[in-house]
Amino acid sequence: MCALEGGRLRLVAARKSYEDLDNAQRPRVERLCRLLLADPAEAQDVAQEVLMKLFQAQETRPETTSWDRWVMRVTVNACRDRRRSAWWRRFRSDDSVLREDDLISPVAGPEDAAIAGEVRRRVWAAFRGLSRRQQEVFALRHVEDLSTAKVAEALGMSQGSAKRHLFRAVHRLRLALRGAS
Amino acid sequence: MKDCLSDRSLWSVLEGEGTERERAHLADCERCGSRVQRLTHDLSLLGRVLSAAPPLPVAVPHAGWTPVRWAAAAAVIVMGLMFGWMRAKPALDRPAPVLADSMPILERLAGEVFSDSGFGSALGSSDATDLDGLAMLSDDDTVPCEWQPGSCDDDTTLF
Repeated sequence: MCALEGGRLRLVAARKSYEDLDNAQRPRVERLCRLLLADPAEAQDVAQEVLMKLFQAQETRPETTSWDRWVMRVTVNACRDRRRSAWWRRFRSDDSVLREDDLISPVAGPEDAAIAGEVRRRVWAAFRGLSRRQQEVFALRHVEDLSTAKVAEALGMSQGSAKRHLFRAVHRLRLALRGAS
Repeated sequence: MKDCLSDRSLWSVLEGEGTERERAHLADCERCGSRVQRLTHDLSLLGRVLSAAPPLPVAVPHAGWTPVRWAAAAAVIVMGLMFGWMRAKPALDRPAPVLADSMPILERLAGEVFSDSGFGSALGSSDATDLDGLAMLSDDDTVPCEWQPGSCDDDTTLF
């Protein structure tokens, strides 16, 4: 009976712990996944996988205090894996097009709403046109606000390489922002 | 004006890098100052746009494309199968010169084996029993020595 109670308590504690982790990390992980994967459903899947991995890692290594970089790295790797295996799904799936209405975020604030739909469309199209590395570097540096050194570490590349990718990404995105092709 | 910083240098300074000279220039040059402000604004705007929910692609089936895609895949598979079948054709379907080369050898071999030895006629006699046939063979001088009791003294060989 005691063992049963103990097991149930552990289960409840684990569930609570997972919910806390989910609340704390999901928005960030999901945002990064959505940036790196074109398909939002896939982004949700990958985010779920990452959160499960994080939960298991925290269970096995409770002494680790900082998980931010770990999460970023695991998320980027999971997105890479997903993109590698995506060709068959893309082949099977129907073509999809971008609708102008969807370019406005449903939770956009006044400032976001002020950004014209056309600008959003151009920026997103340009971002999707960047190389995989450029996307990753830009997302971690300017969306997740990591320093260049941490970005380089999370992506397993030198700082010089990270800076090169970042500069090219910034250049192309700024051109898109101004409406240049 | 001509000493103004390049885009790369400007960006490096904004990233907290850059040389002393570049930073000093940035502090003095109004044009580069405004460029930095514009770059800062652009980066902030890009970050905001990309932080917001990305545009959701809406699946709109294109009636024409899916069948074309599957048809192309089927055509590739059929071509692959045909290519494989052509490569693995039976030997009889090979070009005639190959057979023509080997035919004289086969004919010579057949001639040697089934030469006028009486063996064929013995096998062909329908009214004689097997024992009669063997007896006829043993009496015949033209039968090779291997078929006769004793050894081959004259080194006659079958082939």
